[in-house]
Amino acid sequence: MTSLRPPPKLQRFARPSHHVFLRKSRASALNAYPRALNLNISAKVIVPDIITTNGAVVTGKLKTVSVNNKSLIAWLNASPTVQSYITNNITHSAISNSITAGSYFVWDMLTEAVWVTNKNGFTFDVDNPVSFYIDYDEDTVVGSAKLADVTGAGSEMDVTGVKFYFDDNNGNILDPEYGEGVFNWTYGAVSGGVQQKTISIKLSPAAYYAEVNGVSGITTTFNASGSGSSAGLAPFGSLDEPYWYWATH
Amino acid sequence: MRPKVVIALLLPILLFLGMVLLFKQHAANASKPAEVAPAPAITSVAPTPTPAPAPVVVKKTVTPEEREVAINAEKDRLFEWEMNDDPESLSKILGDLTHAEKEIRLAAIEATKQFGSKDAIPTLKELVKNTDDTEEQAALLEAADFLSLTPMSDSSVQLPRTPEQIQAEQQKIAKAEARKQARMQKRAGNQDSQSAAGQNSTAGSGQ
Repeated sequence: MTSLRPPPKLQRFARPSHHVFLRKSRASALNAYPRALNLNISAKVIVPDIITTNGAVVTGKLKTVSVNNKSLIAWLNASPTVQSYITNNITHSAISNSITAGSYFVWDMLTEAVWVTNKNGFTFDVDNPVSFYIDYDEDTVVGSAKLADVTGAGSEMDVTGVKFYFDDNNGNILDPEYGEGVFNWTYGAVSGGVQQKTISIKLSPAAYYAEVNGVSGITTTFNASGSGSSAGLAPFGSLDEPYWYWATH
Repeated sequence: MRPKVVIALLLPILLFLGMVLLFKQHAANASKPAEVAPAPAITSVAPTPTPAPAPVVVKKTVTPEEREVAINAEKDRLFEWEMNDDPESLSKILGDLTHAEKEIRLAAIEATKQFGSKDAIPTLKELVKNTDDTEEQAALLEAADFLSLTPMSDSSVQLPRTPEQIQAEQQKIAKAEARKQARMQKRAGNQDSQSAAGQNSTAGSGQ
């Protein structure tokens, strides 16, 4: 697809060394936390609509359209790159060359990639054949937390910068820039070494560039929200600080 | 005794007894509260009546963890319903717009956006009146506005481009690029001529 748009910034934030957990490896610690979050994406995009010529008068109009999960899946299904990837890589019996209806997105907080999946077991990393990720800035995190020393129960709210990027390699791009990302964590009481942990997120990247059918547009609003939970082994014992607090201090 | 004497003696006695009876009746009426309009003072000092004992209901206290699990379970259900296209799923989503838990109500508002049906708009607008929570009001109105837009997945927006259209688009981009280059060259030429003129005038003024 020919486009005047510069290539996407593939360089993401590197995770600083001080984010490596001291007492356990990062992988084992994160396994106890929800890392795959169900994701809802909604955006409004302004695109050129109709250009009419009446004699010497040319009239151009703009149209605001809505984008949600279903729109993104429709885009991906129309993308030859995605069709080819599914055909050649997905061997699931229910899949031919497109994402089935009822599929949904999950965000992998560890890799920052967005996956598509459904209840039939079909799943793949969309960021592999095309571009689909949410980047968060671990260098700048502020937050508040309240955690009971004895039970480990509590809650935490962290705010950081988030960026979203979607490109179906078929003329459709959503590229809002860094904006606010709110991460709300809830920690249950540790019982028998097991702790219920949930997270809900609300991401509001700043409106910026978009392309629809190869034509430039602008995202006017952009929101993503999601949640996930896990009831795994309490990762640090009941006296430890919450994840984000500890990871950033 | 003569009858006159007897009457004279009994009459004062009967009068006295009559007066005593009248006095007693009056005293009894005064101490009894009026039945039609009881005095407020008496009502206010009366002891609070003991309420009838309520039937014993064994109610399980929900722990914060159980509440969180229940909320997440309902949010997961909303997540499934929103990806469907059937009226039943929409009905369930709209039902959760009035859930007791605010977190679920907000998730249901988001679910209406993902479900993408304009049929949800009247309900969303109607519910704005039922809450004083400005965050919820804003979310309801934003969702109604979102659903009123043309969805990107609409066939009028998401038409597959023909090879001719793609070629035309590429030609358009190439032409725009050529015009841009021409403008840049013209601008550069103008700047060169202006700077040359400026140098000449500077040189002239210096002489």
